Amino acid sequence: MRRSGRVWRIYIALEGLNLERFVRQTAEAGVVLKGMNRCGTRRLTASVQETDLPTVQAVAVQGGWRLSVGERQGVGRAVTWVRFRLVFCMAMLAAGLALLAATQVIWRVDIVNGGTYDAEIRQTLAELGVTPPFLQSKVALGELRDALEWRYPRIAWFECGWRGGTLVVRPVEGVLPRKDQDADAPCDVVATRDGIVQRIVTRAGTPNVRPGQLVRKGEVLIRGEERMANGEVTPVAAQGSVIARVWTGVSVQMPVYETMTHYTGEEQTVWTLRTPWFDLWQLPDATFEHYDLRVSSQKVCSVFLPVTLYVETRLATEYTVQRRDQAQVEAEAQSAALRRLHEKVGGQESLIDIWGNCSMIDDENVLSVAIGEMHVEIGIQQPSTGMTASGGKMNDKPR
Amino acid sequence: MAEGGFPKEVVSHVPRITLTGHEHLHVEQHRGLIDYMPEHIVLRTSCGLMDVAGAGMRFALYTAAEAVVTGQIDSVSFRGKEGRI
Repeated sequence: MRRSGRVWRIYIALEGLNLERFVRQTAEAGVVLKGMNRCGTRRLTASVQETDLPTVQAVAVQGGWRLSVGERQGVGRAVTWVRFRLVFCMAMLAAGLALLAATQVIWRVDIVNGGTYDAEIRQTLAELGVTPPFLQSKVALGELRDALEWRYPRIAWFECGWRGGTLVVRPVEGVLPRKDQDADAPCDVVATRDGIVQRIVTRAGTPNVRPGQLVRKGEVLIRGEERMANGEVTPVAAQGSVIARVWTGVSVQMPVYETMTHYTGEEQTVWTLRTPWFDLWQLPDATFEHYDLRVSSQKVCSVFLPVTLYVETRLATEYTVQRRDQAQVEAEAQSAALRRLHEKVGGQESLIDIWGNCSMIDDENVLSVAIGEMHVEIGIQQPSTGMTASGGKMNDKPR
Repeated sequence: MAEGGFPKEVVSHVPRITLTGHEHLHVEQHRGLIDYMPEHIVLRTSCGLMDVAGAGMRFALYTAAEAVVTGQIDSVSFRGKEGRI
């Protein structure tokens, strides 16, 4: 109190006659009056230091003036406010500190577009000690990125960053550049898939197949050797184009019976506060046997606190099973098969013929098959293996 | 400068009055407040009674030897010889 008295000033109000004499006497007693204001003929307000208050009170009592002591002024007023609301202020301070601490903590790890690497990256992060919750300052993003890129050479690069209380890791898969065959190294041209050779153009090497011949995947189409005029066989890098008729097919199975869902109109809405580790309370069981779910999840405080308001609305349903028109199902299955065939073939190869078939299986499903024929390049350079289409040695003559 | 090289207000307790514009009046070495209303203030000094006329005047600071008046100050004048009442 004594220490704060040197700092805090306090309002006083004085009422009575001859207030100027009060001012003179208090000033002569060494009191510094500030902000003195006359409010009417018999009232005067001012502020004095808290330590001077006993002197002022003594002067007022001695002269018969009525003295009223008001609130502290400025910072002292705030101190008084805090003193009488200590619990509230401590709670606010604790909440602020908790929020500040929460912003420094990473609560979860998100791996974006991890694909097949997702689980593996999580395991690697755990091995590196990046297991939530952890302090943000404990993890250096640059080092983490380097460690991940070193561990996964097939990933082009990693993007690591903070998003609120979440560590976001995004692996970007690159396509490794194809290692071109050394133009001078001896190699064969082999078949990349089964087919019937339609046309073969040899630029280097010795053709091993003829148009109309059935070839299997991996068979040598153009051997990497050339016979010279003197009969000597020289290894070369086989080059050429081999166009073949190939077929590809897809099948689609579609049920004849369909399950229809009807909403009964009954609803049940339940909610809870959800953290990454537990729910504050468990959701009650549904009161319906069958129901659809409508779920919403909303962050409660901010992106820094991993607490979400999870609301689940259960819509009661009834199921009925009915048989559809078989012709319609077959049409849909055939259409789906054709669509899948085009998706499988892609835009790089064009179909020159398509045919399909539908059949009923177990009186429950319609199986639709679509087969397409294409003329495609099937030859690719590959280091010499010594095996030919007929299974003979490289030096065998072509058939 | 007064005798001995000292300023006159230092050796003879005469008031030093500083008026800054129409809103700030600083009076040093006064001898007490005689009358105070927002429209006029009377201070006793060694030169007599000092009348300050204006409107909305208040004391930003008041001590035994110093007074700072703020507000609208229209005039400052003296009356009387010794400032006795």
